[in-house]
Amino acid sequence: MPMKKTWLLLSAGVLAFSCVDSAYDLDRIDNTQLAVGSDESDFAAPLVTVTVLLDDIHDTEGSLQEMLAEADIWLPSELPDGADYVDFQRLYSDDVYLGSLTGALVDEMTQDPAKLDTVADLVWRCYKQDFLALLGLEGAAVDKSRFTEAFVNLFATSDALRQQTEKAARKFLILLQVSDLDYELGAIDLGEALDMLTENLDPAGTPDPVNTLSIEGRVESTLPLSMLLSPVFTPTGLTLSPFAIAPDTTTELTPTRIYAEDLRAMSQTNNLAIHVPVALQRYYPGRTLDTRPITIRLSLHKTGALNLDF
Amino acid sequence: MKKIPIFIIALLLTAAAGAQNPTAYFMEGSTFRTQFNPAFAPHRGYFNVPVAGGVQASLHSSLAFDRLLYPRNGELVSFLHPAVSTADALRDIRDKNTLSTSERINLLGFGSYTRNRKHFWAFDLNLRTDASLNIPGRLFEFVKRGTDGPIRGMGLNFEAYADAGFSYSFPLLGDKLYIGAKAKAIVGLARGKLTFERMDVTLHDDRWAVDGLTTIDANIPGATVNYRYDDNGDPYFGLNDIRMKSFRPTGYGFAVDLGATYDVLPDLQVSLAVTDLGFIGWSKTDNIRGHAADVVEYTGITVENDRTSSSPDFSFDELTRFRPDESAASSRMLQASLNAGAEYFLWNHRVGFGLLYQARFLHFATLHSVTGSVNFSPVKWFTLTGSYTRTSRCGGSLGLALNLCPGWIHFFLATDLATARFSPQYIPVHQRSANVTFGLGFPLGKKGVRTRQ
Repeated sequence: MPMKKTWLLLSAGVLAFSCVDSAYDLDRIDNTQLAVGSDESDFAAPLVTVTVLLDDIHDTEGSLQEMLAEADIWLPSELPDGADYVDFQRLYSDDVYLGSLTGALVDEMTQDPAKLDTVADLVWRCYKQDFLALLGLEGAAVDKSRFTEAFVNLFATSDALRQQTEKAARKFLILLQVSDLDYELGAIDLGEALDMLTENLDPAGTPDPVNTLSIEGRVESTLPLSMLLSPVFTPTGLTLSPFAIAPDTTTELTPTRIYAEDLRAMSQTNNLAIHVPVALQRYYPGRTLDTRPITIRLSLHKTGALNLDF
Repeated sequence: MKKIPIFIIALLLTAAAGAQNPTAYFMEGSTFRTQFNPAFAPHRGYFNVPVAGGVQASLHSSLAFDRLLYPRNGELVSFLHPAVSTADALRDIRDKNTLSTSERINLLGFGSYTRNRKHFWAFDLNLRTDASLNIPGRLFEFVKRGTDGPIRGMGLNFEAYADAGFSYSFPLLGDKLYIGAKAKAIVGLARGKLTFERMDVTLHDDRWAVDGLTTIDANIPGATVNYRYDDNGDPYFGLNDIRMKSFRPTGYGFAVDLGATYDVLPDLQVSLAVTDLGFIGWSKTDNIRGHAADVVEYTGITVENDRTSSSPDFSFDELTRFRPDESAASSRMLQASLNAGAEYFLWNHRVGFGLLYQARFLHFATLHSVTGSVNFSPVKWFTLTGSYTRTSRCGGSLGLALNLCPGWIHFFLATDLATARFSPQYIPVHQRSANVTFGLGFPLGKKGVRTRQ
């Protein structure tokens, strides 16, 4: 009997102290939503890496290498006012600036026989028809040595020859351009990651958005050129913010915010391509060229958590 | 929908440690007490009810249930749910997050005093399982915060064995000192160790990569592996390809428990013991070993020289394909424990105050705990104990224990779950340790003269 009482007392005591918390009922568990990361997270995934070869960059006449080699001849060895670069925008629109360059070229040719020989050689190779009459060689059988000898001998005394030389230099420099770059990417198969990336994106116009998607990246360049690039994905039409690159620098791109429909469109096409219009800005003469001068790395950035719905 | 809770419950039930309920330590007269220290002895001899003579289940976790699941908006969600903040989810996360369980079932047990009623011997046969799990904090950081980096040391260890032990204790120094020893022959039933040696995660904007190495080393009785073959004709296996064709011992070992008690004063007793000091030699015959290693990398689309290449196939198949390694015999130490206690008695031994320090040398971490207890024995055959235990990594718990040993039965029950809050499925919600000890047997032979008459 005492044992029975003790047992009952103990049982009552245990029941009094312990309790069941129905908030933790496993039957009520919701596993339909999981998230990797939090509002503070910033996931970055590689998207595209484009290595631009030197041969990829050209104009309608020839390669960039050939173009810059000729530019180095038409430009004076010492740029006016101690500048270390040629400003393409001024070159295209500022005649005084262009004149200062060609004037400095003529001055250098007058004083430096080596420069004069170099220009004479170029003129012989590419522009001799424009100079034959000025050199009194029109209609005659002309070889290179006769042509360059006449050019060198007359240059210091012939205003017309110097003016024609300036004209040729102007004509070349003012037309310095490169063609747009085009690269086929094929298909970006994001698979199930597509939903994970786009599930919880804040709509455009949301103040202080947390869950965003953007294309970011960086460009490494060793080209002696600074350029403005404005990549566009085709056929989706998604345009990245234009960015400028400079020699021997790594340029961080301004993030381009995209939305679910943009990423879906990119993921669903099989012939994704990237079209990169190029606008030259500055040229730093006299530098060597790498064979792989530009690397463009684009990445996809997701801020906020990655949501997984089951 | 149910995968995660089932997984968690499975972990709770199978993951591992040296099961010794500290609340039961000071239950004087209990037949179970010799498991802590072979120098202890019950009031009189006994014969345990087979299988029910001494059942113990223990669980220690560095993470509470309510740190894995959270009530939100009337539902229960995991810590990965977007509604659970990073701060909440990572609040109690440590470098090592361990879960260990241990079960001991006494299949057969009996013991008796010798003719002088001071020496005590006992034999018992136990089935034991130990399991432990370690989840590195970096893994939690990765999934909740999205931070990459090396994730090392994740693993699961499991061991099942039977031990047959004979213990003997006797007095020295005029009954002030009791020495006890227990020798245990061990039969290894199964073991397994799955270790994620390396899982280095890189989430950079130019490269996503996982560099993983997982190893498996298991002794499974009568195990056969149904190998599969890859495109190169190389064999591999998954966990589901391991089959147990027959049951036979797969290891043998030996262990001892050594202990002593000393009456410093007539009412002050100190005790010290080391238990499960031994090893199991696991055979080569049933050993399965393998490794799965790969570097999975995604670098996006690469365009160069008019060639477009891409690596969008972020496949983890190879990381789950175990390449077979040569089987080998191995010896592994048991998970030993150190118990050091002191108890002071008042009021003619009716009330005792106890202090116990335990160190349990588990697979992934050593657990240290300190227990303070108050023990009440109004009559010799009845002991009621209340205790509070603080365990490193696992927090505190209140324990209650009862020992009844009138002339016709031995019964004891001890638990630290009496004041715990449970889920409806009886999983402790906030408490990170759980111990239940239960035993039933019959008195046998003469009473001892160690305890008060």
